Amino acid sequence: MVSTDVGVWIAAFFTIVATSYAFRDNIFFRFAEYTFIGAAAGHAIVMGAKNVVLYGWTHIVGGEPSYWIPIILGILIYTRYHPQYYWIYRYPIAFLVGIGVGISIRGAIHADFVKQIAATAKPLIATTPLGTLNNIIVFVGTITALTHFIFTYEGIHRGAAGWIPRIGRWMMLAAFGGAFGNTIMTRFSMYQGRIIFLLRDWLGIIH
Amino acid sequence: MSEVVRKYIPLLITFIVGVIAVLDFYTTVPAIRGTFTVLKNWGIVVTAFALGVGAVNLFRVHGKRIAERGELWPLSGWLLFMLIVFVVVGLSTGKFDASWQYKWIYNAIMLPLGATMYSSLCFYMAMGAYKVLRIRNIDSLFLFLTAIFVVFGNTPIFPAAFPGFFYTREWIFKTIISGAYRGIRIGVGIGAVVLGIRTILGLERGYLGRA
Repeated sequence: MVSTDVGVWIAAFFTIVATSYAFRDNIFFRFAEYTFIGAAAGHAIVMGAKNVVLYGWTHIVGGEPSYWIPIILGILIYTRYHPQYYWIYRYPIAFLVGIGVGISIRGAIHADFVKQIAATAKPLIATTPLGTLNNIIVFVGTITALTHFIFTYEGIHRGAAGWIPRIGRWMMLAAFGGAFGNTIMTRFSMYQGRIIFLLRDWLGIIH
Repeated sequence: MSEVVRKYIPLLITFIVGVIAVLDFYTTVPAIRGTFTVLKNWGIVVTAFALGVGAVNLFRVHGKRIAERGELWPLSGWLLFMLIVFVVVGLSTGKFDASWQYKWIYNAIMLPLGATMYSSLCFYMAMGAYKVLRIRNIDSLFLFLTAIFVVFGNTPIFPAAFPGFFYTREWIFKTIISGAYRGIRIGVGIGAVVLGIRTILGLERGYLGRA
C-alpha cells in the first residue's frame, strides 16, 4: 500500500530527482542539488551551535570563564571580511591549525608509521604454506610500494634495482583495482537501499 | 611591531598548541593532559564558529546572484530559504537536532538527498570503469584483474555459482591490497609528520593567507 506519510513522499521525490542526473542534467536535479546544499549548510550551522553550547557555554555557566576565549576566537574569524583588520582572523586559524597539525602528527606516527611497520615486521613463515605465501606477498608489497615513493635517489628507479619499484607499482595498481571494484559495489549496494526505500516505504510493493 | 602582531604571534600560537597536542600523546604529565583536553574543547567551539563562514559565503554568493537576477537565481533563493529553515527549526526548539521537527525535515530532505547523491555516483563509476579497465599494457592488466575479481566476488550470483570468486576476493584484500596500502600508508605517514613539523616550526605559512 502506498505510503500516506508526507515525509516519505518528499523523501521519495528527492530520491527520484537526485537520480535523474544519471540520464542528463535537468532543472529538477538542480532543484535537488540546491536544496541539498542549503540543507547541508543549515545542518552544519545547527550542529555547530550545538557544539558551542555543549563544549563552550556549558563550561562558562559551570564556572569556567576561560571558555570565553574560544568564543571570542570564534567571533574573530569573521574579521576576515574586514578590509583593514582582516589579519585578526589569523589568530583563530593559527589555533585550529595548531590543534589539527598536532593531532595529525601523533596520529600519523602511531597509526600510519609505527603500527604499519609493526604489522609488517612479523615472521614470514606461517603454519600453512598458503599462510607463508600470503606473508611474503604482504611483505614484498609493503617494501616495494614504499620504494616506489623514493624520489631522492633516482638510481632506485633505473638500472639493476629498477624491478623493485616496478613490482611496487604493479602491487599498487592491483590494490587500486581492488579498491575501485569495492567502491563501485559499495555504492551500488547503497543505491539498492534507496530503491528498497522507494519500493517498500513509499510504494509498499515489497515487504 | 605590526609584523609581530600580524604574523609572528599567530605562528607562535600554532607552535605552542601543536607542541602541546603532540606532547599529550607521548607524556603522562597531568598538566599537559589537562591543558590539551581544554584546548581540544576550545578547538571544537572555534571550529563551530568557522562553519558559519561557509554560511556567510553562501549568503554573499547567492545573495549577489539574486540581486543581479543571475542564472538560476530563483534556485539561489530556494537554497538560502532551505538554509534558514534548517537553522530556524534547529535553533528555535532549543534541542538542536534532537527535536521531532528537526528529525522530520532531516529524514524527509537531507537524508534521502545525501544518500542518493552519494550512491548514484555508482553509475558514473561503472561508466568510468569501462574506460579505466581496458587492458592496454601490463599495468592495466593488474588493475583489471583485481577489480573484476572484487566486483564479481561482491555480487551474490558469482560466489554462489563459483565459490572461488569469494575466496579470491578475500585473498586479494588480505594480501595484495593490505601489502600495497601498508607501503602507501607508511609513505603518507612520513609525509604527514614532515608537513606537520614544518607547520609547527612556522616553515609552512600558507594558512596565514594574504600578506
